[in-house]
Amino acid sequence: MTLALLLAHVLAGAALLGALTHQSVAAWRSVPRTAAGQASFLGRYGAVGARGFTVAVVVLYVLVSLPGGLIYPVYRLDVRIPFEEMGLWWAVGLFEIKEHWGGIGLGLLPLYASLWLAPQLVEHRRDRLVMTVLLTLIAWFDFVAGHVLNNLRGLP
Amino acid sequence: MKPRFSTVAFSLVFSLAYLVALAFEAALFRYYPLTGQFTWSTAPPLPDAGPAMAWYGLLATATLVALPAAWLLPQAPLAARLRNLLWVLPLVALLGSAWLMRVLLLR
Repeated sequence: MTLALLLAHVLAGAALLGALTHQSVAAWRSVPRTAAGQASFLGRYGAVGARGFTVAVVVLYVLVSLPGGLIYPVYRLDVRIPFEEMGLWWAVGLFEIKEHWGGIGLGLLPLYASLWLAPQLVEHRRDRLVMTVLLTLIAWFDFVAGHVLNNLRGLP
Repeated sequence: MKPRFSTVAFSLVFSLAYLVALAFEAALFRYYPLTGQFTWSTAPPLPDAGPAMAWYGLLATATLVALPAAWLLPQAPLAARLRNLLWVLPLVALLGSAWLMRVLLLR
């Protein structure tokens, strides 16, 4: 069961960072709502309907967090204690940042969704861009940190 | 009448409350995964219950603080006043939480 939850956590995390990276590039290039063809790879990568990613990002973020929260007790008992015994405090710290950033990101989802979807916040271009980039940073950091920690000592 | 809910207030207060709760160890409750027990964070640590987890309690604390703010604070004036600055508090929360973990990273 733990393995199934871990796989769901990882796969949803991969999809989440893909969606958020796409949306960040699109927001950065200021072409979030057009699909005009552009010659360069980056142009085509960013020429997506960024607004359409929003619901998917929220759903994926929740789908990452739920199994992550469910397997957290297993990590606390079977992974963190060995880390402490081995003196791998940097690994413990890395996980702590991962969990806190993930938790803060959960609370940011309502604002993020409003910035993309609420008509009254359409003028908040910089807020929309930075909030999307912050969530992208969280998704990438948590994914990479989780990968490193799992390589050090995987869940049983 | 449609209930009012400010997503701006919720997320900003949530991120700040999470950071404060983390800094002052003010998680609403703690969970002991070895025994499956919960205790309020004001209660003394359970002997022989193994390690405690605060993360669920931190999320609960931040949510409990953010919900009233989201119901009480109006969305439009708050968003207008903080236009293009809505990202500052979340960024502070992310950097602050990482800063608080330096004791582990540099141990």
